[in-house]
Amino acid sequence: MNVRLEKSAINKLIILIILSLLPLYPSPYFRRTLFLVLYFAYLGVAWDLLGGYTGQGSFVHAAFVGLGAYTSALLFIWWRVTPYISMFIGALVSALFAGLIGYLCFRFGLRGHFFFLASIAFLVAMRYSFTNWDLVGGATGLIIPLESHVPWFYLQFESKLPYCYLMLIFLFAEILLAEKIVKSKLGYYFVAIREDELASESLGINTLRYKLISFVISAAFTSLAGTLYAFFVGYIAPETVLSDILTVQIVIVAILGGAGTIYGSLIGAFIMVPLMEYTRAFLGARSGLDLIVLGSLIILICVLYPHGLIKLIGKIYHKLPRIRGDH
Amino acid sequence: METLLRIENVSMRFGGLQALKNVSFTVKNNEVIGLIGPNGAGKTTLLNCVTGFYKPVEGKVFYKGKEITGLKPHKICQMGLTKTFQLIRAFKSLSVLDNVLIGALLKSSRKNEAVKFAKEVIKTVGLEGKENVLAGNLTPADQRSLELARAIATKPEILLLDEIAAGLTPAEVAELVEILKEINKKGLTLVIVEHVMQAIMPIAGRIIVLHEGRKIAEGPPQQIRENEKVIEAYFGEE
Amino acid sequence: MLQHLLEVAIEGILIGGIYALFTLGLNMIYGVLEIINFAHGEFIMLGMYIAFWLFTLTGLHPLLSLAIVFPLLFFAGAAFERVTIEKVIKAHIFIQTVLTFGLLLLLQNLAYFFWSADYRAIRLNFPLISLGSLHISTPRLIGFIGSVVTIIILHFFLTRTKMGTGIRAVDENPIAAELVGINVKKMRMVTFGIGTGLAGVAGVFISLYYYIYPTVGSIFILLAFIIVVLGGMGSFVGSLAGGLIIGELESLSALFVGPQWKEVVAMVVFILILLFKPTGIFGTGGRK
Repeated sequence: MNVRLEKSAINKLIILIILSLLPLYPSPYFRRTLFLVLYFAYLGVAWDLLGGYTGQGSFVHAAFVGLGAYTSALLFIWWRVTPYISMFIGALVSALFAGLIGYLCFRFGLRGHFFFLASIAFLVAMRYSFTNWDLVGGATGLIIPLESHVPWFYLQFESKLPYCYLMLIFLFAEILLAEKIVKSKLGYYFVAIREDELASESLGINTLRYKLISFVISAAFTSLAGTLYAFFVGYIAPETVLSDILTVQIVIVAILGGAGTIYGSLIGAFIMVPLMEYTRAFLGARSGLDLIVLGSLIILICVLYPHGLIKLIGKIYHKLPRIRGDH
Repeated sequence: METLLRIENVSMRFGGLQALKNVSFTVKNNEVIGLIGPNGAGKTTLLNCVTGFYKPVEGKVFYKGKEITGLKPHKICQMGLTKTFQLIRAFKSLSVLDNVLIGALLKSSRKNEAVKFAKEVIKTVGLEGKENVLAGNLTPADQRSLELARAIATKPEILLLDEIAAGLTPAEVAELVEILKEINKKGLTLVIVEHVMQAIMPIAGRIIVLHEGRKIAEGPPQQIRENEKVIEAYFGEE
Repeated sequence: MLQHLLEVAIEGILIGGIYALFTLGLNMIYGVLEIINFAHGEFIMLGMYIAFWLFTLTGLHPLLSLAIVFPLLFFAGAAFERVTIEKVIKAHIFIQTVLTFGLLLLLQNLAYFFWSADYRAIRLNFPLISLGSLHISTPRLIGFIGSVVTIIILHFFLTRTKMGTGIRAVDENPIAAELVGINVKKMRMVTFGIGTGLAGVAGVFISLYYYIYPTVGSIFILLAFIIVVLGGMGSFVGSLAGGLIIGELESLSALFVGPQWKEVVAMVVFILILLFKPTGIFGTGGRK
């Protein structure tokens, strides 16, 4: 048992070292891409807690990115609140929103396709509302004004390097927390609900309550990344942070890597983001060719590896850090 | 003996179908009750009304003197009353140990404790050595044992078993009966729903017969075997 | 005012009929394949573009282009089903959903790549129809009548032909259908083809009165989701009633709340249905 635990710790360390060396490559474009990889991996892990572990496939998740981004951006614009504080306010807002829509949906046992549709409806309703709402900038969105004399206080750096490390810290903290959750009673209950809700109820599991807990945790995690993203790009709009494509990208990252595996999201992000970014760079974003390539790849991967890429990579290197089975 | 479960005039309807009509009986501490009846008699419906999966349209259910009618299944399970399912509902992509552990986590606050207890329960139902096998890869008989183990792991006081012998060979049934006897000896009260009378006769202290949603007989096995109404219910239409 | 209200109400019914048509396609696919086809709106978009280009390049009347649109999109859909969806028919619904989203991205951006983001329209002059002092939009009326005719043909196909019966059997119970010797795989393929074909036909009707651009499908897919949930997933009658109700709601909310809020109103209605009657008005009680 100890040997196995040590092994997983060593694996983690290796991954961490590799990831922390990568940002040193001095290309702004490379660093931008790397930031997005880590950002999507982070979002994928957050989604996976709800979708992969608890089995509730949500398409609303871009809404939590948006709530995090908008909350922090507005608090900054109005009162110059530092993102270190506002990100937690945003997470709280997202958690409350998740609790509300989760309660409304799960109370009547919406699941599967119905939950897909309900969750995407909440996202779209929110995007339409924000587009028509002048207080939050309407369709044009919000620009975060520069206050670059105190870069660390307001998270406004000229170089992309600090953003990469910030995102990396968040990602690793999240992975460690997620692993802790998954190995605890909470995690076992999540998986039980995914496997069979009626059987879970008969074993004394309050399925509504644990689904809500899972949803709220997932939303709060997601929201934190929304804040970081807003300060990374400096500009947010309904089309960028509340879009259904963003939601689908998150889902793809989590699923293609392998749902319910945590590390799968890292793999998913390392495949999807560079593909998107470099096809855009080579083919040009204006032509739509990048998304043609992305669409075709999604179809291809779904057809060839319907159970996620982690299985494929697991075959090549089957000693990937494991999270289940070590009691 | 102390009365654990009291069912009072429970009725259940699905649309126009009267599934249960004024069913009443009590279960005393450490009893083994057999609940039998032909197909469609309302046995599973009754279990679901007791364990909170259905809310009866009329009547009340009391557990240790407290009314539990209409409570959610998890609440009722936390109070000490749970059931197994007629169709196997093991967590198929989890290991045997994880399956039972999920049950054990209900009453054990610490995971180590729960793991230890889960392993004990696995031994009780005769699944030792298969702790790391995925539930989906077990034989149907083992899956039934697993479901039993999972329910026992929640430390219930009453366990309601829905056709737990269905699909088992006579040898497997005999083995199961031994296991049930043993857990009953440890203090667990059992309500066993069975379609086949023979499976239940050797262990049940008292038998309740349902037919078309009504209770038509109640008594010790010997008496039930000779009851004309029961014979008619089982063989009358053939 | 009353006259204006009446005109808006009639327009609601007319577009509702067209909505019912493409929703039927989505609903059939859901019933038989148990998949929500996120790319359904893109087949509507393709139908619109095909009608537009045939009209612009050859002068073919959009209604005549139906003879090309339906078979073309039927075969495209059927081929796509056989090559991709059939491979994930037993996979997790996440994978199935993401797959159809991949198709959405592909089709939308192919349209963008080849035909640019420009808004296009079929410029045909239709005579104005008046009932007394009421003015009725002729293109919408044509679309409505065409949709009704198509739905009747579909109904006959599903109830009177051998293949239609086979499709309904798979919809009802795929395992039992397999046991009685129905080629379930083929039924899935044909159903997907019919679904996409119907979307294309609806697209042609919509192109008579609406702008054509690459992402136009996303408007209609969201409407189709709302209708399918309102009417009940898997319910034929539900799609018809749901289509009319949503068409009406859209027209009236544009009038009373303002056109920029009509999507929000539709979404709120959608969420309310999902929350309070998720099986829909004509739903089968969550059979699937």
